[in-house]
Amino acid sequence: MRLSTDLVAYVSDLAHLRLNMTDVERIANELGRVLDYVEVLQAVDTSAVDATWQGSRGPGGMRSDEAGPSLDPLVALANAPAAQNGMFRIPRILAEGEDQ
Amino acid sequence: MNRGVADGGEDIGMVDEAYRVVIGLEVHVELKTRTKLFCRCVNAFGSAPNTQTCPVCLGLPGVLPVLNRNAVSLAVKAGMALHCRIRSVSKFDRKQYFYPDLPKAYQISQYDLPFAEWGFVPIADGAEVKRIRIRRVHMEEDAGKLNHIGQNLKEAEGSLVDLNRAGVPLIEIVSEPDMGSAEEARRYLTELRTILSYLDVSDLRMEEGSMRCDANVSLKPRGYQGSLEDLPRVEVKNVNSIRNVGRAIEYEIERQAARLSQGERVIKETRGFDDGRGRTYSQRSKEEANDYRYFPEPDLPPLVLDESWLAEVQASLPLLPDAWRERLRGLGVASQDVEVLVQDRVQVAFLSEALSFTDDVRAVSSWMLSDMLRLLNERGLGFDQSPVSPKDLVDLLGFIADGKISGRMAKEVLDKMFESGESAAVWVKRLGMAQITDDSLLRGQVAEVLAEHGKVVADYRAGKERAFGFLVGQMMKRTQGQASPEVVNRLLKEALEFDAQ
Repeated sequence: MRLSTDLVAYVSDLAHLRLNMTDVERIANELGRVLDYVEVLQAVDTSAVDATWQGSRGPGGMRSDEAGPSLDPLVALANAPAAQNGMFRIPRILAEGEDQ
Repeated sequence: MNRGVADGGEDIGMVDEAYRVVIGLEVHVELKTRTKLFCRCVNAFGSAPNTQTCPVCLGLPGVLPVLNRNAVSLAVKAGMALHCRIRSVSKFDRKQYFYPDLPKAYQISQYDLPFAEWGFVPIADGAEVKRIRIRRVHMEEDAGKLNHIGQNLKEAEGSLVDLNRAGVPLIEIVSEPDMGSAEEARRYLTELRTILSYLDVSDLRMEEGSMRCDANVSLKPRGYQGSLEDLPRVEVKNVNSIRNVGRAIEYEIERQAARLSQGERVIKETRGFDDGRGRTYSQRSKEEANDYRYFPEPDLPPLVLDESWLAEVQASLPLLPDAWRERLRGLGVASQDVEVLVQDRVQVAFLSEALSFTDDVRAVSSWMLSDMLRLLNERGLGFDQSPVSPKDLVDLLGFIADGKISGRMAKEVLDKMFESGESAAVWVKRLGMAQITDDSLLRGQVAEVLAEHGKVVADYRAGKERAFGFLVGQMMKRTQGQASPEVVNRLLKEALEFDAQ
């Protein structure tokens, strides 16, 4: 199955991946092969099998509403590229000119 | 904007008769649990930044979420109170998007199988009741809080991220687009908040963000046959009070109508609300695509709610606002008093407790809404913090009912009770207020007064009505005003008639 380079570019954009045209071509091919395999799977007759979305069935473990320890904020911020006043500092969110 | 009646006869908002206003609301409510939805970090507002985080809510690799049973219980309670159908099996999904307040770059939410669906909130307009349908209620985790460096998001040079709120349990309540005016939206939000307040599942503080509202507003041209989903819908995000939701909607209706009347298109977009200027503004962020690429959350098993647990939650539901309205009206409380009482959960709780000591709901509610409310307001207290308990109030009303003190005296006693926290009995005695109503205590004095004032008695018998007033006055003087005037009148008349025979 052939994936368009536009679709690959769109999905990589959503995933914040920066790909050059060579990468896009290569990944379009690779993803195409993955989808080919999915098509093989889809050929299997599953009409007698209930749909599932999870490996384990039945009520999973819920926990009681009891507090446990949290991290020291210095530890929580240890990997932050920038921090200020005990918080993660990030660049401007809105793009320029997007405010009317 | 005019209001009018549409073709079908239903009462809906109209703009220049050319468009129908279509409003749907999405309300996020933070659940009042001790801990977050998927980890044991404390769920509390106002702590120092990033002091309530752990590898789970920070989205660090290799961690697993574990669902908080209490959060599920509170969510189900809300779903039931909104008359929803509760699914015995639902599931969690990942909603993927990039925004700096979302550390995992996905939010655990519920997509195609929410735990509750198909409910409604009744809103009253006078005697008319309209049902605003609830499409779905689902559980999800909250994101962190952004603090913009600068006046607002628009002018910010950067932002600071506090993740204490990341992972706090939320329910999102999605209405059908059933509201036709800003006023209906306000009514819906007010009633929704009242219902949820009775359940005690959330702090519901819009100014603190524990209840947040996004309003979807569109104008449907007259004669439009297509789906409402296809209309260019404007979503006004995160407005911080019910009043401002109304203002934002009013502004949007005018803005969209103005565009359409000039032959321009309304663009489907997300807008913010500027409280100071009373205007909405475009809030397109760099993250443009609404393509959330949902898929089932592989780290959480399906949410299976067994029958007995659901029955337990159902049984724990308190009497809801509508049921209280009916009950109070049935007991003869005036309609406007019913509305004021029902608005506030703690008032209803106070009244409810008082009614376990007395049947006189009218006396209790009228004292609650007048003198109690005045004294509480003066002190900035709610009914749940009142120094005078429901039992104390009922005791005080008992003194009036028994004729021991007058209504005026009772007001004075209530003041003292508020100041001291002591009972009505203590203050009635201390203020020397108890009226003497016992015949046997007053008969002797009546005889003495008549004996001392033989001439006045003769005048009375000669037909001088005013002489009687003098004799009453003498009785009050002797008892330092404590004798019950009714009893004194009766005893004097009895004695004067008896002696005359």
